[in-house]
Amino acid sequence: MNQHPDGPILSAYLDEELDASETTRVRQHEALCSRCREELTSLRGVKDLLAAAQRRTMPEGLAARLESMIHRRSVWEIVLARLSMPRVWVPVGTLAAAAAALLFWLGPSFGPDPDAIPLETLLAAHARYEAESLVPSGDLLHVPFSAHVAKTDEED
Amino acid sequence: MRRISARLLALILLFSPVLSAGSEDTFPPAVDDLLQYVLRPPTTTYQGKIRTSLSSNGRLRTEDANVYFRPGNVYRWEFVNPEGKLSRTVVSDGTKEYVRVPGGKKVQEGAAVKSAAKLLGEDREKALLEANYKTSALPPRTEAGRSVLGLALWPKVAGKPCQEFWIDQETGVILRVKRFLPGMATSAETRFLEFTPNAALSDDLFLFKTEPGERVVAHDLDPDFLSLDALLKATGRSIHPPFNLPEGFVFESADFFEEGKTVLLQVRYTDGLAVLSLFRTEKAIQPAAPDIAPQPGAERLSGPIHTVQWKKGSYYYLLMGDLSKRLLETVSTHFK
Repeated sequence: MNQHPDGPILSAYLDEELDASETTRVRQHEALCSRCREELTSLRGVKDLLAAAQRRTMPEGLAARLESMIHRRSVWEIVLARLSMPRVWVPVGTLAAAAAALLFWLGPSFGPDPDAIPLETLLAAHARYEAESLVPSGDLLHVPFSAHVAKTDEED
Repeated sequence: MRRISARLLALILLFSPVLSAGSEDTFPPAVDDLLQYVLRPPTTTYQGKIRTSLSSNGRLRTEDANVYFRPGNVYRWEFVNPEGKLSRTVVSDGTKEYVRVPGGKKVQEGAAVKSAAKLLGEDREKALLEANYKTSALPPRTEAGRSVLGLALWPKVAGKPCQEFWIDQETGVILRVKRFLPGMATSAETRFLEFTPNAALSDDLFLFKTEPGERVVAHDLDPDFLSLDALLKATGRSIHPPFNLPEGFVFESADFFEEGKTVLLQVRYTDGLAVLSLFRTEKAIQPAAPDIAPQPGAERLSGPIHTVQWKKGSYYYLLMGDLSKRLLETVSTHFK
């Protein structure tokens, strides 16, 4: 591996999600590259920080409600409805660490922005375009599009 | 000799509608013939009941619809919620499509799907499909009580979607289609639960009339198929993405639309089956929460569509498609 592996690859390496050959290549690169070793050390630090954060016990029933809420936030299904931002029950320490990790990965430009353009609009445009593909998809793609349009009507 | 000829004749008669697409009367039909059936629009009037399903990490979400279809892209879909009530109706006369919600004040109007020509010709799109995907026949089976033949499109590169079709032997109508990323626990599927070909359908099914208190409004989400020059003329904004991306994706067209007072540019790519949308805007785009927070134990992006976001200069970018996250990230590096 002559090129430096990018952030997601390093993250996947730490999470042991790479296949055997990629893992070997990253491991070999890590042995030779001080820059990537430093980055991996930093990532491990964030990971350890998250793992060590104090946790609180969830109230009874909250896990099930969160499961339902998070399920609604599935990107595919998000086209079906304009949903509010997800609320996630996490310890304060974990939240801070997660924010730090996000800033580390993405830079300050992707911080929470209440005026941000809703992703659903982009998904609807993409789904509508996909319906024009030469290869038909039944209504796999058109279903969420018409649902999005219908939802817009309901909101108005 | 006489017995063999009789058997052959019986087979030809039995499968003649499907076999007519091929150059030779053989059974099972050649994979290329099945692909032709998949790519051409239905030529049979039918009605039926379909079910769409999204299976994701062990969870299943379904929606049913009553479907009525006539050749010429004339259709009516009546979506039914789990309680059996009508949730929305989509009617197309072949050029316009209307979406109505029962009790709503507005009917949303737009162009019918595939009513306008794309920038990339069908021949070129098909050539891309054949270059980037392998086709194979699947064993015959039964769907909605009818005999079907199967066709699979498999990507030549890991991380792209696979699509399977089950084609009615008598009419060539696709009775089941499934799309999934190989090796991932997510799939989307549409299948007929009931299918009646050559149904006598009333013209009223496809006639759109407003009801008292309703008004028709354009939803403004119809795709235009613009060249980059045409995009510049229409918006005054220029964008210079690569025309070719890795793994067989090529530029197809560009488009733009408004969200509030913000203009979004959309640049589309295809490899013949999968499509990618690159969005550019001057305003931040709401992130897909699971997409940017892959912490251990967190809910990962579970749908078949993934996104990658970045900022370059004063512009915000988002790349979207039903590729694996890793492949999408690899492709996104060619824009950065």
